[in-house]
Amino acid sequence: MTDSGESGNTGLLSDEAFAEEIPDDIQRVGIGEHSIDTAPAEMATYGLGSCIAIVLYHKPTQTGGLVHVMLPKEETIKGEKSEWRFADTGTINLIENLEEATQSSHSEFVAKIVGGSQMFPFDNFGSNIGERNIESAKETLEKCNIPIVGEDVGGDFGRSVVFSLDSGDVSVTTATEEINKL
Amino acid sequence: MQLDLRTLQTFHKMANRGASQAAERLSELTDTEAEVKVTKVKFVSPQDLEDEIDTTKEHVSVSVDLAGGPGGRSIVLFDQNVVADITDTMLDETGRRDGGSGIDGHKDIVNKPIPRSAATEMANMMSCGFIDGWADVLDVAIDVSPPNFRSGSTSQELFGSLETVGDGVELALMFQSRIELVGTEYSFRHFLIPSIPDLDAVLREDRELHHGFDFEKIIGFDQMVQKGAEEASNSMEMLTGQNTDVQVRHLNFVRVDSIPQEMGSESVVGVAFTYDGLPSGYLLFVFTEESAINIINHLLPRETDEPFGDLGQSALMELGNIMASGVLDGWANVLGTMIDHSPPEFIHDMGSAVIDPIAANIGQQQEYAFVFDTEIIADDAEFDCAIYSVCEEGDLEEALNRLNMDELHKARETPSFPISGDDGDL
Repeated sequence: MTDSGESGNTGLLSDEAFAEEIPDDIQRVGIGEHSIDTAPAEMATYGLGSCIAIVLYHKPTQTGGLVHVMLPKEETIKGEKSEWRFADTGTINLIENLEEATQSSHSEFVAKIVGGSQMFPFDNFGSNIGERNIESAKETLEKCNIPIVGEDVGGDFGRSVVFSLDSGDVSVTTATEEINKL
Repeated sequence: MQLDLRTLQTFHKMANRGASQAAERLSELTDTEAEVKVTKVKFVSPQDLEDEIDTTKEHVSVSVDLAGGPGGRSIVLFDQNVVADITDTMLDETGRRDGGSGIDGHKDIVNKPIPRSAATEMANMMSCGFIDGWADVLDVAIDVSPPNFRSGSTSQELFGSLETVGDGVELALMFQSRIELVGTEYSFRHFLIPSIPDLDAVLREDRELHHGFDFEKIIGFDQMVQKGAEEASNSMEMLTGQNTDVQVRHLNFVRVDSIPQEMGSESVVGVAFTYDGLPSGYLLFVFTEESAINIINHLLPRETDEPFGDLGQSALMELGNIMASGVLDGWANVLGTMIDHSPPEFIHDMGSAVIDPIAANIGQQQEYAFVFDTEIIADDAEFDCAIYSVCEEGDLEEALNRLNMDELHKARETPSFPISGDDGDL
């Protein structure tokens, strides 16, 4: 049930260069995309830099969702845009979709968040989007009274995430292959 | 043809809408989920078309010429070995399995009437999906010619004679998509190469240009990227003592959030800069780990056990710094502007994590961006370098408008459309 909207992929060097490190049976969630599914499915998103992944889980139905967002707040960006790219609206949309999928209230959900690094230390790369992404996601989850039961955020390194709907576990891998289970 | 960023976004919507509809048709026909994997809007020369085709393989193409809307030619392309399998699937579906394609193996499959006709039917249905999508976005009727089946391994054999682009056009616009059948190894590439005069006419009817620029100026843009790539290649040669070549050079107009997706999660080494002037944006040199180690060993007086330690980082940043100056000076010379760059930043991490902060930063101001990607390869050594640049859009329009086209034409001798090719058969 992955929804990629209109984004598609760009192909920077060549179409064939498209790297597909995630096995076929795991749903890949790209930037500005989301997925909702039920056990035994697994979903993954890779190469989070300043982007963050917000994961929601409903244990009674073993159903969960993941959204990969790029920017903190939808209202600060002008023009046509997809709400799934923003930490605030992406989180709200994911909550609503999971409520619909589980026919349950969001008071039964738990959340985990991953990512939000500052990959480049200098000011030229903007006012720390990673940190603002984390703040925005936390603020939104707090407003909805959804507890954050696990997080692996900040720092200056990239992360990949695999979310298992069987257990609700989130495995976070870094470039140095450190694994953190949330 | 006059362009502005809104027009380029319309092109992107056409490409995406068309690809979604084509994937839907393919799914219905094969009873297998089809996914759009790549959608691009590119500016291509006849030489770039050559580079699109893997000439070591035999391919099949089915094209239709369009009348109305964007005009030009719509081409679905796939590997020859897909034909037999897909044909059998289609014949199964339609209950005409008696004997299937009648083919053992894939040799000469394109000369057999049943697979040829089934492949043509399938590709034609995909083409109709694309065309319906474009017609929706442009709100026009588009007529199509009967499908034209071709086989071969070169762009001339597969695209045919591209007189539909327009006479003497140096750069064609190309909408490119790749659609995969999920859980199979089958993938289909689609190209729309519109007629520049037709596209101009259809867009002219319903648009108000804001700070637009002439399509011809894209040629200057392309020349700018070429010049920058050559300068970077020269700098790399000078510092490493190895001959290098510019292998791939693309000018893409893409959605900002799609930029990181193809970098993958494999570890890469990068040197990043911001640049400021006309235009402004971000410049990133990316090396595979192996390339970075080889380059560092070329740059340092003796091999090091810690290639990414302080010495190695500093050597690579110095190389990046000189290459960045080369790229940006090359651009500034073509554009007649001044472009300054920041000090280098070293980064060693997962590919998409390296570029996502750049996409996020630029995504705060704009939905789409021009991305130039270039690959430089050493002739006799095991290293290469990919260069990505993402430009801020407002500056870019201004820079383009400053281009002196007379000077550019004097400096340029490149092949133009139409390219010659076989017209194919039915």
